[in-house]
Amino acid sequence: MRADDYALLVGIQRYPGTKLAALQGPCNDVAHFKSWLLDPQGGDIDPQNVRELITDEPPLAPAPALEVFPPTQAQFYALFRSIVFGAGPVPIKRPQGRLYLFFSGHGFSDLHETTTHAALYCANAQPGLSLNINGTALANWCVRAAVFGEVVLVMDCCRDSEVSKKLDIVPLDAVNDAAGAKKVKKLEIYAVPFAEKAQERSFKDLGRPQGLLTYTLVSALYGAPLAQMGFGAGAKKGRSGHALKEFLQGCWPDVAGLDGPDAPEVVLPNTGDICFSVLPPRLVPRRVRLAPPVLTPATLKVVDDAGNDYVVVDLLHAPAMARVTVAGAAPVEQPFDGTEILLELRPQIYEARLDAPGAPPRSVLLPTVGDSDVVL
Amino acid sequence: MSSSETKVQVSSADPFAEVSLVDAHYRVRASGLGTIEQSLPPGLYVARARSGDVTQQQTLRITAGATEEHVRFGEVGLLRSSAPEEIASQQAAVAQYLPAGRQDDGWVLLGLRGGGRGSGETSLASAPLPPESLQGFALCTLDGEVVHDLGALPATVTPSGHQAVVAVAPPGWYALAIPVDQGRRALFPLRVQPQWSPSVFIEMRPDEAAWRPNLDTMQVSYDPAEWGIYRNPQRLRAIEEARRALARGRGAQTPEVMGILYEQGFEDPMLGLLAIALLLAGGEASSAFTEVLENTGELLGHDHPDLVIARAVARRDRLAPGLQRHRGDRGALVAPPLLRANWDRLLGLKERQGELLDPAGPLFAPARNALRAEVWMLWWQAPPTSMAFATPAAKGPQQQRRVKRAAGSAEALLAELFSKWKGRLSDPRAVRSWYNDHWMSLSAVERSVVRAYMQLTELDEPGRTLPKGYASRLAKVADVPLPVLKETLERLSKRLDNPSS
Repeated sequence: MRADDYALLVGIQRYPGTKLAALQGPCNDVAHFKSWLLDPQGGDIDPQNVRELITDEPPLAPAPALEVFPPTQAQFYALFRSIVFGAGPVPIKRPQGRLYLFFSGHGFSDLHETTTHAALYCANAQPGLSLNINGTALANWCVRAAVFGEVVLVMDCCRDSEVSKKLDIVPLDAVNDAAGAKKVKKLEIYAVPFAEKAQERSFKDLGRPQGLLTYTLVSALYGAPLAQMGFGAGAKKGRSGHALKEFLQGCWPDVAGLDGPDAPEVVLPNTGDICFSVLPPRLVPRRVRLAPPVLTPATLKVVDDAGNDYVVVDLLHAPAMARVTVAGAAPVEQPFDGTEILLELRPQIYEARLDAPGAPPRSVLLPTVGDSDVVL
Repeated sequence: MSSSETKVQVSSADPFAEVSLVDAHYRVRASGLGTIEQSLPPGLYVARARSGDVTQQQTLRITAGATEEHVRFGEVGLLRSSAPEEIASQQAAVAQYLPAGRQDDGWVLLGLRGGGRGSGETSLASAPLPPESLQGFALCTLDGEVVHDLGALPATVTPSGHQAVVAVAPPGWYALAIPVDQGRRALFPLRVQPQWSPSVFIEMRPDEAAWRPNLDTMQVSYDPAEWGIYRNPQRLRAIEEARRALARGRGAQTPEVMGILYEQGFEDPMLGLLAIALLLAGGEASSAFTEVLENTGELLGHDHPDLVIARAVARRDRLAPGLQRHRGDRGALVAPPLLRANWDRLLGLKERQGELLDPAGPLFAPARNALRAEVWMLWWQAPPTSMAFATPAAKGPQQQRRVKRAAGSAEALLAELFSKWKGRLSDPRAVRSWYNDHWMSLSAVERSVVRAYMQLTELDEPGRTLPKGYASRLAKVADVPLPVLKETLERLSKRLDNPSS
């Protein structure tokens, strides 16, 4: 377990004092990202080190006044202080630790600010008083103060370009540790490029609405390929920020759709990289629907990028059964009604091919990220 | 390139499409604009082209021994606002609906089309809107007096799928009145010249029972062939890129976009204005800046407000070496600028602050009623009853004195209203809800008054009162003629007394 890693997760779904529409995804986003954080195969964080600030579900009764409708900026900074300052007056240094700052909800960017940034509206924002948490500025504060060795910022929110709305000035006292700051690695992940709108939708595999970024990010955190990180004796195989960025961009249309929003914007550390895991990509379940149904014995092959048969499925080799053989593993039988087959695959793009006697061969691209069914 | 690799070229008919090659492990192997080339080992790849808001993709399996592979994408999905193919009878259609006018007259063309995400429309134009969708649009003088009711003119469907009307107009400055919200209209400045007549294309979005204009995607063109921009996807795309960059307050565009804006600016000077605005936003000095300023001035007239403002900023920030002085640099602006970015820059020009305060000048009403739009400069049209007072025709000190006198009574009006509210207030939650839904479309005075109302509603004691001097401060800030304020307060008072009606 990574004892020095901490996470502060914020999900805001309702903004009763403004015109901002209620969202359905942010609390689910927090739960989804948290499940990766706590997973020993994922972030491997101590549950005690995770702080959460989300919209109350079901809504509190009676509803709090608009001016203090939670989650508020004050609540957020209280939680942040509890991580960074503990009970003491000065920040705690955790050079071996990593801080995750995760935000999901409605957000914006400042038209006049030319660096990559985003802020999340607080639930008690009101017309003319756009209370917000400037995630980027807060991550930068953490770098300047060198309170963690690594900072990972995730902003799953819109980045509408606003003229009159003011970004939150982080109300923390300035702490400048110039020497320590040089060693801090910061990775920033934004749901969309500047001035674009983030989206949420219901995912079939999860059975609930979520932000597109969080869904894809968790897929990437489990599935992005391992790569050589570092040089010389310090080199290791790991899932780096670079790999994460490429994976997010590479699989984005499979999740967001071909007419979805632009791919997320990722700002990599200035020097070096962050290693999220050294474990190989986790297998993902994938449902392949057969239309028209297969009613006679046939062979379904999943072909990898090298042209090798990664999975061979003998359909209806026995009544109502299919035999699944993954390369290098023993065959496994599963029930098959002629319409669909469930496979577990390494996260990458395959080709699925169906050969049935007396019928022309059928093939289709088989992506493994996203919740859309593959129809063959 | 090793002997086992294959050269892959991916290109798009849209030179601005973001083209990429992704391998089977979701790694982006190459990306670029328009066309990319990459040598790749055998394997499974996906080629993609994102054009506008739509991505096209194609699978590519490279086998050992292949030497070259080409993937080419068409222009499908270029833009949501892209046009259907040009039809052969287009020129004939122009002659059919252009009204007759004097030789020196120009015209203003307004085209409306359904569009935007709200309508569930894809990349192609939808069926033409009904002619009734033109109701409420008008060509006005800059101070809002109607010259042509565009909704009453015969409409024609253009080959680009727009429901269009054309109004003949003598050369001069006009304002296009656009119905935006519950009968309220926004004004947009237009210059008509014999050689350059403006065309305005607006996408309408369905909203409950009515169609609403999408002001952010509005297209303005001086192309002589009216819907000419819709026959030139490259130009349309360059305009779209420029429009987006301006909306984001960003300058530097790709050389391809700037090249089109420079070169095609001679056919449509609107492109020159966009190029100038982008160069200003970029903030870097260049001789190209001087050239495009001079050329666009020759076409549109050097006294065009966008050019006058751009020259002033360019001189102040030393962005355009060798820039000459021209007509308009010393005198008052003849109209508000077309581009919102230039309006924002105007507000920062100290030497022109007086023009914003001149009640007889063309900037007075826009300065008080500017509507928040991303690219274009629009302002709310004052209520018809008080139009003569809001933008008085008379000039000179007499008029200014009248306005000053009126400001003194405004305080009394406000104080009277606040005093009335002290004793009787309606449901504060309903007022707040109404305000939340409408504050974007309210003027500064209206917002201040409603805020004062809400502040009163938050005080429970019977003797509730606003801070001392609130009415007098608001009267000064409001700075609108008394009849306008009176009408505004009466209307607001009725609305706030019954907010859920």
